[in-house]
Amino acid sequence: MIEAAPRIDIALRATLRAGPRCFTLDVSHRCASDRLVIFGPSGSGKSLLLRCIAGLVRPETGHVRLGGRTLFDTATGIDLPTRERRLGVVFQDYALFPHLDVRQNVGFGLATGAVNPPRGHRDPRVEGWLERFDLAAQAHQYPHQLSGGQKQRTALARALVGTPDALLLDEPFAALDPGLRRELRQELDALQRRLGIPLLLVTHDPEDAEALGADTLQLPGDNGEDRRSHERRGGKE
Amino acid sequence: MMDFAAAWPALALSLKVSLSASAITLVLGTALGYLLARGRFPGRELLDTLLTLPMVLPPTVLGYYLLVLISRRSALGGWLDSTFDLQLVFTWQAAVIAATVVTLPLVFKPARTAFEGVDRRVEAAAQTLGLPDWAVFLRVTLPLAWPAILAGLLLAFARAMGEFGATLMVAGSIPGQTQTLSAAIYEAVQAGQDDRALFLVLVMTIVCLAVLLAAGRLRASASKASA
Repeated sequence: MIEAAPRIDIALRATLRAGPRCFTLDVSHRCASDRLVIFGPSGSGKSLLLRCIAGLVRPETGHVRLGGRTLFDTATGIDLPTRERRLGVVFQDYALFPHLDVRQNVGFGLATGAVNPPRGHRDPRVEGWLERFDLAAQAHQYPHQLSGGQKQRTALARALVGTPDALLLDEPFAALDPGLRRELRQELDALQRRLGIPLLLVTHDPEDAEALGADTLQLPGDNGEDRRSHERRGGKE
Repeated sequence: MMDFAAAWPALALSLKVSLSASAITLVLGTALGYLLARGRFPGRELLDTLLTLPMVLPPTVLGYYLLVLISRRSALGGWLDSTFDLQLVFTWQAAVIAATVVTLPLVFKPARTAFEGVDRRVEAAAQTLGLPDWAVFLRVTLPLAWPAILAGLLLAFARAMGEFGATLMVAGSIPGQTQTLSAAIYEAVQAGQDDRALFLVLVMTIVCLAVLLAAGRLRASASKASA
């Protein structure tokens, strides 16, 4: 039997130092599925793993391959900068641009060069996602005027508009009420099916894994020396 | 209205000096604010303190330092003189240097605070959307810090208009050449020209009031946007 080529292949080791504390993330996962739910208690390094995959933190050793594309590999010296990884990333708390309205936020990545898309500039790709995510009425509003669900959909639209090669989501449902959470899980499920790109989702909610029918990567909890940092970060995640 | 014609050269010079100093302060203060907020180098806090010093030093002390620095007998001043045939002392350019040094803290301090307050995850989001670092700075970091920088710049302009002590020491008070509005007021009072002094004082007050009002409005809109 020929083993299918892995769609998601991650093996890395990264150390995060903050003063006297030290946290080491050591994970390895490879699967033929296009969906991976990264699951673990608070402080297990879920967000760090996502930042490594996005190229925002450089692991000491290992490799990251998504959909057959190598983004990082210490063995061959490949380390694509974040801007060339072509990943759609939805950050925890969404990290929307506070000085831009919804339409400008979504169109941000389509404008290359030194200037942001002007207010009111209409790009059919942007308008399509605004329509699909029911954001047309909010197109001219600023992030601080949006509800949690609207922010989340804006962040998702912003990540998808540039047709990324993979989608990374960091606790995307954490700030939403259960009803909205279910709805958005279904939306995400349909979206992944349609786009056919690898989807990596970080969560501490086991229901997310179940609902998406995904492969899971369980990160271990406390491992001794970094106990204090776990407890400190516990409230935030 | 005879008064206004007499006041114009001094007011024009004050505006020229203040605008030039503000432009230099804007570029230098923004760069320094960013460097101090993001740079990791030894002596960072010392640099911050040294650049803040002109705000608290007596103007005469600052004027003395600047004279020592740019006079023809100094290394820098001597080099400028022999290389470019450039003598700065008692020119309007010397007044610009004095005003720049005095106003720099009013821009680089708020710029530093604003840059430190920019959410790094928002910058990371811009990176993931395909932007190179310089574009992230121009399209995300700078716009988010801009209201604070602009408010500081308006204060710097008002402060440059009011600059007197250090300017008098390095640029003197040559009517029509280096006599700024504040120096003209001093001269008018000394000469007992009370009407002229009053008129110049009123002009200066109105200009500074307008600038401060604009700065206040900017700060209000900046705090609203960040809420």
